Amino acid sequence: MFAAARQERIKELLLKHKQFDVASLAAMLGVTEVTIRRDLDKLEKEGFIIKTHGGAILKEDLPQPNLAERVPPEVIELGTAAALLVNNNEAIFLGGGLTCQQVAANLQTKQRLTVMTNDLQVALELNNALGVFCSVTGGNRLQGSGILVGDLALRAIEEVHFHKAILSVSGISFTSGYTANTVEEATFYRQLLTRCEELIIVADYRKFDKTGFSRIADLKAAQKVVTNKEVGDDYKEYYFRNNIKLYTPYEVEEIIEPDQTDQQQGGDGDDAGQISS
Amino acid sequence: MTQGKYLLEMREISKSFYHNSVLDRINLRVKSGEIHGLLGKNGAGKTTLANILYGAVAKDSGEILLNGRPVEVNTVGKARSLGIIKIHQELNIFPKLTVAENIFVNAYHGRRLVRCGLIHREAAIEEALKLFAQLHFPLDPREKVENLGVAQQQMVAIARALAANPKILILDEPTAALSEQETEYFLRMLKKIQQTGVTMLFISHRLRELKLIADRVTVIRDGRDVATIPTHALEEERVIKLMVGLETKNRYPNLALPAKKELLRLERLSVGNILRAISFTLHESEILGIAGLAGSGRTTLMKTLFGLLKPTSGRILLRGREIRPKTVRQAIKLGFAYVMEDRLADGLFNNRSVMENISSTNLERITKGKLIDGELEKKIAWGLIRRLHINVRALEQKIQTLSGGNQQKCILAKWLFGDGLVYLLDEPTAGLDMASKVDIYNILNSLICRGAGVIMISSDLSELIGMCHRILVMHNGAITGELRGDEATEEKIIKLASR
Repeated sequence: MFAAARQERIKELLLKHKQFDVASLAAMLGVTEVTIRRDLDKLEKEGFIIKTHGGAILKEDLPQPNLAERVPPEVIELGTAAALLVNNNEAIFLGGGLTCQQVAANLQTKQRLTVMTNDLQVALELNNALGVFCSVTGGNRLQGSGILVGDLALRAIEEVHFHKAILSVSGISFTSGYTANTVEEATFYRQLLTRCEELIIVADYRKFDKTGFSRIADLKAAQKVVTNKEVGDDYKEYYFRNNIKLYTPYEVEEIIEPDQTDQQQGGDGDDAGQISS
Repeated sequence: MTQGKYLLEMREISKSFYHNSVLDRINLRVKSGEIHGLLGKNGAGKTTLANILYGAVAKDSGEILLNGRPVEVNTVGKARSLGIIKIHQELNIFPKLTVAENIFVNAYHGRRLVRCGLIHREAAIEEALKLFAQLHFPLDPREKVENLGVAQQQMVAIARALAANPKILILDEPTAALSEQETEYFLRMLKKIQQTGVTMLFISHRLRELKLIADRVTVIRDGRDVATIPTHALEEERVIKLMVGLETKNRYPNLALPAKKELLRLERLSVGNILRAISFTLHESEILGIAGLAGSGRTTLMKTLFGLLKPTSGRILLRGREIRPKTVRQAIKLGFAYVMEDRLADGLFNNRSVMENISSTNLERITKGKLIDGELEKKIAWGLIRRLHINVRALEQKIQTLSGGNQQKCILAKWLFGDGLVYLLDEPTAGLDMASKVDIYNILNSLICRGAGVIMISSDLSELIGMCHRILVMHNGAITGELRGDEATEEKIIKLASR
């Protein structure tokens, strides 16, 4: 499922070590060599690497992306997982920040989906999504980001209604609930909660046991939470006890289509219970 | 509270197995001479509480008072010496011995009946007749127990307990194996026993029989006592609400993925009389639940798909092609993965290391020439441990030292290591703590995200309703109904499972 996250990890490894062989990559990432070869095919197409016999080397002449700016794998997998909770024909609000941008990136194939956002970057992500109708709140831009807040943003949500609001937050803790880094964001999101049927919080596990400057809502305000499996057991238990769905993606191998395995299966003369038709 | 009002008080009793809290500061107060019902769903903690009282399980905290005085019940022997006797769900009777011999088989209360290590037959029969007269039990002490019906065997077990002159008799689901008529008869007998002054703790998940027999009922849920109610005030609706608690289906992280292709189809699959003409389909990315009482054929169905049992008729089609898995090896090759109900009995190599357990399903992948590539095995095992976030200190750690949740993850890891297409899961979350349950649900989600199909047996009905897209209900080896996850309720399933 989380091929994208795995490919990011391969990129990271290659940036660090310049070259790698398929067997080691497969072992390190715990997937089959077939899967790794497919990943490498994709990375070669992207122009990131050059495939060699049994491995890959980094394309050195490529302008190397700054490691700090790249999206960490734990956030990438949240984008994929959260997008599964969005259906066609819905009207949703998508909040601001890197995590929500990742969610947006995974909404490209949805149909008749209405997305309102207060983040210019999120809107940009949805630029080429043909089935998605996107609107932006307006408002004052927070310094250093594309997030819009303030009176104009608040006015934009006065007369709208959302099936779901998907928000990322700066901190999640038992004592302070969901928190944002600025009062302006918290004020806006608090108002937003009165406009939606369901609140989905998307935040990587590092956000837990942290507290931002300004409080948005109590932990029980969410109906669904999407985070990484590394989140503490105390939170897993808390959400379960309080009837809140907690989603944590796990990386499992893709199923190899039967036509690719037919040969392997016939290999040892065992008919494997298969009846030829 | 006034001293002496209660014969038995259990105060703030807590018990955890690993990190799984089974009892959470539970309280129980039993009056002298009453039949006290203990009511709760499967897994509510009834049996654990009884076992603590009986000295078979050590409590973590809390205290037990008899006649207002604290007592330490740390062994079964201690419980017996205090007059606390338990009749087990399994009766522990000897079918080849006579009724009288069974009753006086325990030397401690029949010492005078034992001569040279043998039960003195005539004396035992005499004693038994005295006891039966007192209890109005119509039993012949000379009869061999194997010739008796279940209800009568039950009475033998009770007579044996009563021969020890108990103060408190614990009955754990005593009617589970009885027919309706036998139950009625059995309950009448208990009423008679009550008149002799014995106090009884009657464990059941059947409200109806508690209404007939109990004086007061304590309802427990998730390891806590939620109410103690005099029987005349028992209202069915209210009690069911107390047992079930809040609507909990919202806590299951289910995923509704778009409809996909058919993956597995069963056409009138039968195994002797155990499995009768089972037909259903499983789609890619679907979780199909199977509900049913023990013995309904649920596990037989799984075993047949996994090549452990041979169907007598019917067809199995995988992606439209008929298959006949004759061995486990073939089933695995076809893409079946089976997580058994009792992971310690079947699923794991108990005294082997974590690593050996994980790699046992797919040794081919780590074999070079004729040897296992140890380095590769290690790398892959660590990869899976990381991916499933299993709490392991070292690969060499013995699997039995892990918590239940981590053991279950190791089993799943071993199947993720293979290339599963159809996952057969028998009670995958039984006995796990909440956090581990949430982990297992999310692992299931990841499996269906990649297109696998999951068939899940569970006795936890809210879990089935919460996680499954469709639920099949089985009874007596046949499918008695199919419910969509969003229309299923516990009541509907129970009706279909017991008709």
